[in-house]
Amino acid sequence: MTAKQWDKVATCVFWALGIIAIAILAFIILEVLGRGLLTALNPKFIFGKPKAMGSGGGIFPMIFSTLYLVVLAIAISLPISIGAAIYMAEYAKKGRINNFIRFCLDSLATLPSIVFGLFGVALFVTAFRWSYCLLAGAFTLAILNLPILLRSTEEAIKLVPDTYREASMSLGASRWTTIRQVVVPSALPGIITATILPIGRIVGESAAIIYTVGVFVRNVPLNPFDTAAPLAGYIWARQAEHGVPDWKTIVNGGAALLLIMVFIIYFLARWAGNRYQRKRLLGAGNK
Amino acid sequence: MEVRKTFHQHLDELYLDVLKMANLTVDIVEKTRSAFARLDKEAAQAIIAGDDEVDDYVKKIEENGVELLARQAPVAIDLRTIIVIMRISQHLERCADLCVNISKAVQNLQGYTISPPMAEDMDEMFTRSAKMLVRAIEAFKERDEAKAIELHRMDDTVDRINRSFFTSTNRCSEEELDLIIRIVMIARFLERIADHAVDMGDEIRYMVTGEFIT
Amino acid sequence: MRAVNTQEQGAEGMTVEKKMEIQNLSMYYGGFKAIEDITLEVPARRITALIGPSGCGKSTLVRCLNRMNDLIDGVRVEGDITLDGESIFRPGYDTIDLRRRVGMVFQRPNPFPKSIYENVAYGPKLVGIKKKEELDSIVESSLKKAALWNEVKANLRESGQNLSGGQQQRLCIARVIAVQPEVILFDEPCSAIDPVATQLIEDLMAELKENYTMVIVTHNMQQAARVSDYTAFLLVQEQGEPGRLIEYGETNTIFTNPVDERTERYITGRFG
Repeated sequence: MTAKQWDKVATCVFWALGIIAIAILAFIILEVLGRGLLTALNPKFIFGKPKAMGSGGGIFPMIFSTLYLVVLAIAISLPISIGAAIYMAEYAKKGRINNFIRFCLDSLATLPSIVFGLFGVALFVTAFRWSYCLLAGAFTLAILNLPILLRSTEEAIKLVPDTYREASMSLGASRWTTIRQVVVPSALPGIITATILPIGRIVGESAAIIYTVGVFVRNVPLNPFDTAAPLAGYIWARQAEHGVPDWKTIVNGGAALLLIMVFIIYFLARWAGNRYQRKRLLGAGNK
Repeated sequence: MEVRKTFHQHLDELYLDVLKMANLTVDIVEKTRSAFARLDKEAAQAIIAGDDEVDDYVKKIEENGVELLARQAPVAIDLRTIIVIMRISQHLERCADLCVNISKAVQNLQGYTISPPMAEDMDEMFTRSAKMLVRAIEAFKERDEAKAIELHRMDDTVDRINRSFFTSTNRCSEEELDLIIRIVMIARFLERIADHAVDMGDEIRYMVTGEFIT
Repeated sequence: MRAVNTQEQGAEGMTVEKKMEIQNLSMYYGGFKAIEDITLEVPARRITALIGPSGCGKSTLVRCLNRMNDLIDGVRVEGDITLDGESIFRPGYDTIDLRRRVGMVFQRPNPFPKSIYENVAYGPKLVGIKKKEELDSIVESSLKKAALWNEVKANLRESGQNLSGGQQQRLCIARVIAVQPEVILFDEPCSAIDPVATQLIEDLMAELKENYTMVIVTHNMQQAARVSDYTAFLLVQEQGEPGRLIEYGETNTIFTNPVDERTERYITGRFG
């Protein structure tokens, strides 16, 4: 076969693979939405509270818990990640410390989430005596997400061109001022994008939070020390133990709603990133 | 939007310098004419002493011209202008030197009397040569090729007068010969001044058209 | 090699004062010696050009003047550099202050991803200027001195990175001017911008000479000839050797009648 023919074959193969990947994704989305979209869009479902017995329960507390959990977990892990990333990218530079940290993080990243869950139970729920609550879950998830968030944040910071740092320092700025005023603001869109994957993981995490936050709690959590039932875990629990006659509806609706939530969060994060970038570029100058 | 302001400023200065030098030279020719007409020894001496000023100008123009060429890499009209300015300054310096020669000859003419016809002819040569220098300067300032070409015609008149002096040596007595020879020498100097003006005209034509004139 | 110095006589026969002096300077990146035993003067309110083929150490040398080389690991310096007579390598010398007094414009324009206003206001804010009127006035005067004000005065809130290459470089110059430096270093400032914009910047430098001492590194000899008052020629004799100063003198002399044969061969294009 000639080179041209091989080229055609290769093109076809890659097209096919691409289509297969999209097709699988499409299939999953359509399946889930197909089964639960009607329920998911039903206001009684979204805003109603779950029933202990009987059908017609909603999942509002679960939605609320999940969002609360996202906020808490990100609030815990993001500053740590940014701080550590700044250290690794700006101060520590080369050397064994960095490599060691990276090695530890990579190892951590491969652990199954159930291990984090058990760790969370042992430390936050039991040892700290917090009992089952959102905070325990948030901390657990923060640790869970640390490897990937730290890596992505570090990448975002490393992507800031050295020329900005040079320019800043040549104007008489200290290293810390340069980081604060130039590097981090420049890296912020990248950092915001870096949180998307962790957020997705938080929303979808079940194993880690079942043991640390709760499963069949029906009230809306008001403070971090309240126990709660984030959505993913609740869906799993209903699927496993039924409990109410319309458990199937709840499961399908919950799954569909979970998918929708993830999409919304994703688009919000991108929009926020873009807006920040534009706002920062325009700055606070004169008319 | 104008760029290279520094270069253009320096070019303007060079331009003004050569104009000043030219006016100085025309002035010197005038003074020489007057010194000759009155056979004035002191005036002639002053002209000889004043040559330094002209030499200073040509040196300054040379140095600045070379610096501009080396540092600014001028092209086109700027390049030709600088080259022509430098050449004109050489010609002007030679004209001033010729006036010095004339002045020295004037000093050696003390005690002689010049007949009115001869004095008239000499005065005519002085005037025409000075006029040619002025015309050349005008041609330079106005970038006027026609005026530059005119110089050739004006030179013909000067040549004619010069030759008439030569031929008149045929018809003179022994005593007159001595004076005639000195006059012819001075006429020769004036004729060369006129030639320099013609050459300047040719340089100016090169500056304007970019073509070499031989 | 001893360099040739020419002292310029200013008015009343006084010599031009030295703003900075480089004395027997050598610099090492780890074990590699980049430049060796360089001695030359940077006269006040004049433009000094550093020329030479690629890799001869011009950028290295100029980055020593504001100690930007300190930011690279493993850099070591021998010899001395003084600013207004005081050694900048003296233990405890405030490098932050040095970098305000000795500003730098880089090869590729590097405005921050901020607005034009914020770019120019960055430096003044560093020294604690907060009041809006003061900042406004500094931004305006700096942009005017950089010959950029008229082009951007209606768009100060727009990103500095939306400007053309030449405008961005002038923005960087304005940014440096805003901290009121005494010396401005230009590291091949025009190599990434178009010829007309280059001319504008050269004209700008001629104007800035009135108030600022400038050093320009350039691989463009004609630019050095046009723009500078003093020129220093650096050269690496053989591969692996450090860059050395071959000749230093008034630009006019260097370009009409250089002393060293190597200088003449370089500027006439016979090598490098």
